[in-house]
Amino acid sequence: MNRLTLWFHKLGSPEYFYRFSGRLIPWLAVACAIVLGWGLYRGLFVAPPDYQQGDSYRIIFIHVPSAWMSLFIYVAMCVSGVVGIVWRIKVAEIVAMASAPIGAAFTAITLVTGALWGRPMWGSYWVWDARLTSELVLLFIYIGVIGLYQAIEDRRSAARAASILALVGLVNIPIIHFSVEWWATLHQGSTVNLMGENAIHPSMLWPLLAMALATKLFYAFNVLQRARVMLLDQESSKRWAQRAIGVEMPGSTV
Amino acid sequence: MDWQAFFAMGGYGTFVWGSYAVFTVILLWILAAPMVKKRTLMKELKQRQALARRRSKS
Repeated sequence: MNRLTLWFHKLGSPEYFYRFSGRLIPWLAVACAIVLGWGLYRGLFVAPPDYQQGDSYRIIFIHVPSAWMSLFIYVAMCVSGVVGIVWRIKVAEIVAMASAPIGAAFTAITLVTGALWGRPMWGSYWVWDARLTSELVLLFIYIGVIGLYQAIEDRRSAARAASILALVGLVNIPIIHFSVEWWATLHQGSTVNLMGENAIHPSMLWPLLAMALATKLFYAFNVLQRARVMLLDQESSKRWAQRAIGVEMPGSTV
Repeated sequence: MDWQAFFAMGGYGTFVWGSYAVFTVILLWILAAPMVKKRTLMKELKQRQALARRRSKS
C-alpha cells in the first residue's frame, strides 16, 4: 500500500483520529478567523456598491457561500456515509452524522438571507421558485437525516440508516444546482463560473471567494470538533478515550 | 469614514444587517453546541468515575 492509503487506514482508528484532529483544530480556527476577517472587511468596507442593487447586494457575501456550503456539506456527508456503510468505519459514520447539523444550519442561513435579499429586490420574502423550493426541500432532508439518527437507539445502526436516507436525498443536489437552468423562474443564474467568464467584478469576486473559503474552514473546524465529542461519547468505555480526557476508570476495556 | 452611511447601507440597512445577524447567530450556535456537549459529557464521565471508584473500594 502507498503511504496515503496507509494514512487513511490509520485515520479510521478512533484513537489516531482523535489525536490528529486535536492537532489540526487550532490551525483551522486561526485560518478561518483570518480569512473570514479579510472577506468581511473587503466585502463590507472596500467593495463598491452595485450599480443596480446599491448596497443590498452585500448580502451576496454570506448568501452565496452559505448556499455553496449547503450543497458541499451534503455531498461530504454522503461520501463519508458511503465509506461508513461499505467499510464499517466508525469514524466515517460519525463524521457523516456530525456534518448534518452544520449543513442544515447553512441551508437555513441561505433561505433566511435569501428572503431578506428577495424582499427589497423582488418585492417578496418568498416565492415558489424552483431554486428556492428545492433548497427548502434540502433543509427538510437534512432535518430528516438528523431526526432518523436521533430516533434509533444503537448509534451505529442509526448512523447507517441515516446515511442511507442521505444517499436517497442526494438526487436533490443536481436539481438544486440546475434548477436555475431547467426552470427559468425568478432566481438568477450563477454569477461565478469555474470555467469561463465571471459576471462579477474582481473587487466583489475576491471577498466572495474569501467568504467561500472561510465557510469551508469553519465546516472543517466544526465537523472535527463535533466528531471528537461524539467519538468520546461512544468510546467512553475504552481506555484510550479515558486516557485522552484524564478520566480513567477501574475495570475498563482496552 | 462615515459610520452613519455605513450602517444605513444606502437604505437597505435592515436587510443587510439582518442577514449578517442571522449568519452570525446561527454559526455561533453551531460553534457552541459541541463545546456545551463536551462539558456535559465530561461531567457525566467524572460522576461515573467516582461511582466506579467507590464500588471498587468496597
